[in-house]
Amino acid sequence: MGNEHLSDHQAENGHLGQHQSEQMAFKQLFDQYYEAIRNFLYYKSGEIALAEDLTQEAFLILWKKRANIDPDKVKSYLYTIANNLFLNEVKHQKVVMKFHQQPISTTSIETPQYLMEEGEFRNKLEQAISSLPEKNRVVFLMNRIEKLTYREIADRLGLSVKAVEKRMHKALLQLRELYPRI
Amino acid sequence: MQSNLSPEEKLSQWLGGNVQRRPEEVPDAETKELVELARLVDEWQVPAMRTKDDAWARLNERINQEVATAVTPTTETPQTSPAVVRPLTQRVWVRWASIAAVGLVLVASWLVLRQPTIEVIKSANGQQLTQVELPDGSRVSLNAGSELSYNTETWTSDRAVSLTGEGFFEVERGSTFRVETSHGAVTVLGTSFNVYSRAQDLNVVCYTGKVQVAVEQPKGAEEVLTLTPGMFVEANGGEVAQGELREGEAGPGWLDGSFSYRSAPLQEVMDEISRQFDVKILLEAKQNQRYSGKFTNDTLNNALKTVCGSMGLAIFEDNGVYHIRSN
Repeated sequence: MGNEHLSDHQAENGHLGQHQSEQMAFKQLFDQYYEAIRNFLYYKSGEIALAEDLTQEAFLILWKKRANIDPDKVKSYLYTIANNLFLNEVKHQKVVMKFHQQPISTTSIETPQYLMEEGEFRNKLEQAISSLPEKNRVVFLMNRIEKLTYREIADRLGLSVKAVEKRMHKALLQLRELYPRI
Repeated sequence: MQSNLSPEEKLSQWLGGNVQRRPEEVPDAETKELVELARLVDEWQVPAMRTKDDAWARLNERINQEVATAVTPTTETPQTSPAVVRPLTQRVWVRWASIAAVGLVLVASWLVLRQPTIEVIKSANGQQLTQVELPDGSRVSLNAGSELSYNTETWTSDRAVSLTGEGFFEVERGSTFRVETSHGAVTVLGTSFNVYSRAQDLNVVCYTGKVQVAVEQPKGAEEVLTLTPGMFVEANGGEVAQGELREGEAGPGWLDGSFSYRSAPLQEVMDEISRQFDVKILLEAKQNQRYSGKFTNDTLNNALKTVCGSMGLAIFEDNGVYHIRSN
C-alpha cells in the first residue's frame, strides 16, 4: 500500500514529488526543533529578534546540507549550526533578558521575596540571570524553561552529563550570590 | 546515605530529570535552597515575537526560491556540482523509502525520525516518577509499581495512554485525552486527576476540570460517570460508588509521600507500603479488617508502626521479609 503511494509520487512528478516529500519531512523537523533552537539562541543573546532571525538561518543551512546529514545527529547538528551563527554575530557586551512570566500563584513557596512588589521582584531575578556566564545560563534555562533532563541537554550541546551537572550547580551558586534571599 | 555524592550530584537528583529518588531521601539544606531558587524560573516563557507558523512560512518561501532557481549550494557545503547533488539525494530518499514501505506512518523522505512507536514508562517498587512529560506537554506522575504507555506516532491525532497502577495526570487543554486501564477508560479535556487501577479496583479522583469515567461492566456494558472537582469514583469488580472529597485538595497525597485511608482493607494498605519501600510484607492476622488513618513514606519503620500501632498488630522481621501478626 505504501509502495504504490511512493511510486505515484515518483512517476507523476519526477523530482518534484521527491521535493514535496523532503519538504514534509523537513517541516516535521522544523516543528519539532524550531522553538528549541530559537530559545537556545535567546538564552545566549537575550535578543528575541536576533534569535528568531538566526533560527531561520540555521534551518536554511540545514536544508541546504540535507544530503550529507546523519539522521541520528540532526538535533545536535542544529545546535552546532545555531551556535556558529551566533559566534559570527558581533559579540554582545551585555545581555539583558526579559521573559513572559505568569502571575505568581498563591500556593507557591512563601518567602519574603514574594511579598515584594511583583515588578520589582521580577526585574531583579531577570537581571541576575542575565548576568550569569553564558555557558551556565544556557544550561540552566534549558533545564528550567524547557524542562530538559541533564542527559538531553548533554546530547544536544555535545557535553558530558557531568559537565551539565557542573554548569547547573555553578549557575545556581552564582544566582544565589546575585539574587540573595532572606 | 547520600554522603558519597558531590553537591552537583545531589542537585542533579532534584533537577536532573532522569534520576529516581527513593521516597525517604530528603535534600540537605544547601541543596534544598538551590532547588527552590531554580524553581523560581519554571513558569517563565521566552518572549517570542513570531509564531512558529509564521516562521515556517518565511522559511518555506526561501526554500522554494532556492529550489526554483536550482542554485548550487553555497560554499558552506562540500564542493559538489549540481549534477552530483541530486542523485545523492535521490539515493538517500530511495533508501529511506524502502523503510517507509514496511509500514511507518511517516512520509517517505530523505529523513525518517527514528522514534519508537510505543513509549513505555515504568516506575519500579520503591520509586516515584514525577512530572513525566508527554509529547503535548501534559504531565503525569507515577506512583511506585506502575506503568504507562502510549503510541508516539498516533499521539497528535489521538491523545491516549494506557495505565496500570497509579498516576496523577495534569492534562494540557486540547483534544480529548484518554487514560485506558483494564477496568475502564477515563476521558478528559484539560484537567488534573488521579487514576488508581490495581487488582480489582479502579479509583478516579477529579481535582480540576471535568473527568468522564467509563467503568466496564459484565457483558460488555459500561457505566459512565462525570466527575467535577472534588469528586471521586471507586469501582470494585462491577460495583461503582461515587463520593466527594472532604476538604478541597489540589492533588493526591501520594505525590507528597502521604497516604490516607478511610475504611480501606488492611491488605490494600500493606500492599501500598510494600510497593513504596520495595519490601515483602506478609499480613498474617486481621486480613479482613479495615484501616482508617494515614502513613507517610519517609521510612518503612514509621509507616509500619503507624498502621500496626492503631490496629493492635506487631511487626516481625525475618530475613528481609516483614510478618505482621496480632499483638
